Amino acid sequence: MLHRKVGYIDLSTGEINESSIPERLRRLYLGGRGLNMYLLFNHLEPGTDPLGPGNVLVVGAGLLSGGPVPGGSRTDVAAKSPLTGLLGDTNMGGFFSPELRFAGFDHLVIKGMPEKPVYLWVRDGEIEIRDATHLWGKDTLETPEAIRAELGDEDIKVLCIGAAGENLVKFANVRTGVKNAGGRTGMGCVMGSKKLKAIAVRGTLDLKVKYPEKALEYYWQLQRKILDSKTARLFSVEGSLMQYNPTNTTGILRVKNLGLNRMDDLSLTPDTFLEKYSLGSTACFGCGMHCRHKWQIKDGKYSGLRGEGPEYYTLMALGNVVYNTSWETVLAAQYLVDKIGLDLAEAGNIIGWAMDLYNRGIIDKNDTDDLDLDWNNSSEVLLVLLEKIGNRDGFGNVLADGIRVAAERIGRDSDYYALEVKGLGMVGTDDRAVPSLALGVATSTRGADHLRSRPATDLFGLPEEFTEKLYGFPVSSDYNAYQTKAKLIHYMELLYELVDSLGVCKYHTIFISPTFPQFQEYSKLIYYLTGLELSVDELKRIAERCYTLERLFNYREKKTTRKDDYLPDRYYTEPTPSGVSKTRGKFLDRAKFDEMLDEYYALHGWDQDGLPKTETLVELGLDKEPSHMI
Amino acid sequence: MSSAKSGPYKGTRGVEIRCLECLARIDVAPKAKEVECPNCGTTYLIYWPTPDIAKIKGVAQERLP
Repeated sequence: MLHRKVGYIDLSTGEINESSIPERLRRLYLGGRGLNMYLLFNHLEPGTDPLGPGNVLVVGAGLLSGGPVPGGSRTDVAAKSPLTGLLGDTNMGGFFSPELRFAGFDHLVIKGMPEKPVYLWVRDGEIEIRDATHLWGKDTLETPEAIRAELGDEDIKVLCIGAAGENLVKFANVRTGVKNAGGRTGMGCVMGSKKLKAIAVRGTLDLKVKYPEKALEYYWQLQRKILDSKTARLFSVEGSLMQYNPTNTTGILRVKNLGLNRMDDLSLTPDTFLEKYSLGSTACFGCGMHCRHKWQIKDGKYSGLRGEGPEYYTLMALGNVVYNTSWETVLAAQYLVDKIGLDLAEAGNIIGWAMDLYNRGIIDKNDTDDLDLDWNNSSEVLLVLLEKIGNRDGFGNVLADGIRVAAERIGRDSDYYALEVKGLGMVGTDDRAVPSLALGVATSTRGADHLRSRPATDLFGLPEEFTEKLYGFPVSSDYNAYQTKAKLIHYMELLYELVDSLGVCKYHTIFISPTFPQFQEYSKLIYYLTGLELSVDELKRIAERCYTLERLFNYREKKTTRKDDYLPDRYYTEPTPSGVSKTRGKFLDRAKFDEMLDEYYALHGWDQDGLPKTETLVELGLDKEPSHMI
Repeated sequence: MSSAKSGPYKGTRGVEIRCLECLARIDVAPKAKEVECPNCGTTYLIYWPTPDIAKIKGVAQERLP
């Protein structure tokens, strides 16, 4: 599992090199997101233009991807983000990273800019740069098929971009397979700027497991524990949609940008989807839960459309945030963003904002190419707007550079309603009543994002004696509480950093059930699969190193500090209008939020301005970065 | 509606859900479509993703304190 290479590709010169990964570096950064961050920090010159040839795109497989690990399927893609100017990082499931490892590589470091479109062909230890002129203009469903036909192998896995990436939409995503997307921070835009249409991989090399019998035995032990749970059974049926009804009923969904926190119209619930559109489900590599729905629209305006998904997030971004109550429109919009390669989270957020401005009279039809953005017209205009953004057409071009730039262009105090952190659009939940969720989103190293730390179990009301066993310290069972929640976020940040570096799907962790694997289990898996003996404390230290390096990267590129670790002002001033009694009439208390921030920084070993202290850098060995070990 | 003729089921044997208002445990009768929390009185719409797992679909009637 350890003997995989890093491939270095310069698209300007055509030069291709490779290196092995020293075990010392594995012990410092593992793989996946962690080692991607090391490579990015080391190979990117400070201040590089994200759309210039100097930006470095790093594609990485997790340390355990492709092995006998529940949910060991994840691929991480990093670069400097053209959307935020900060860390760009996105993570996706599917089959790409196991195939990359079977082809002999764990990480690809891509820089430069060719004169004409290209794609990479990675096969059994070899990397080739191939012409992609004939692929330019194809969508993300056509591109893999064309490459498989060209290379004569239907088992090739492809990571590619669509029209949004080609048109340099700042929140274009990267896609692999029918379903999987690396959406956040605009990595598809970076690929588009490099005229890199796709990366195709195929491998037949053995991935040697250090202690195969023990690894398999432990793998099945974990799989049984996961699959025997009620959570997994429900996940197998509803997928991540299972989270929609509880969060909506509780009142922590963001509706009409931030106008409401619950959808009273229940048209979008999962049971309707299962009854009318679901064709069953499928799974990513190494997953027994198979949460990926297959669906088809059987009649009406979008009759015949087929796809995979939707996720909980699809429903939030293309449903409640834009106040669309039509399942058909959600599915058709998902199909469209998938085809053109657009981050649906960012797209939903920016369209919800535009509709909010329209309904407040801040913009009108003169701004919107004559489109009526009334909330009640959402299902009519959603697809039109998505298409316009993907093609940079008219009003879509105003939105295509992201919400901060769009707010500057529109002016008229529109920025007050622009919901973002560090330039990345706000998550689809309304976190005003839940300080733990709010802190995680505010401090995330890639901007407004729940997947850096979300402690979903905080909403379960777990007793303190239980959380003490789960985390090693007591956490208040009250999700309205501020106390103890900074420690929870710090803990979850480290866990998710670890999980992303191992290449494991978070749905196989305590993200969704307190009985699922976490540090202890991964310490054992790492040993059985790789032979690396890393204790729980050592894993936390590695995760702390990786997370702090991300923080350093952001400071290096844009001087981000404490001022960048807050949610938008509306979260501290405007009360929620609906929900259960614990979420109704709630907004964040800024003084208490500041106390959480103080504690959070202290736990990381950062100063009160959010900058890593010198002694922290020394203790983590980061004072020597960039160290250029590879 | 649930199996009770006069209103939502309030029984003590069946599948369990958690009240999202007060976090009390609520027993749900098999195939029930609505259930009332015996602690706070909030009434929920119910659906069944599997025959033995009940889930809250939404609020039928709120009982805010």
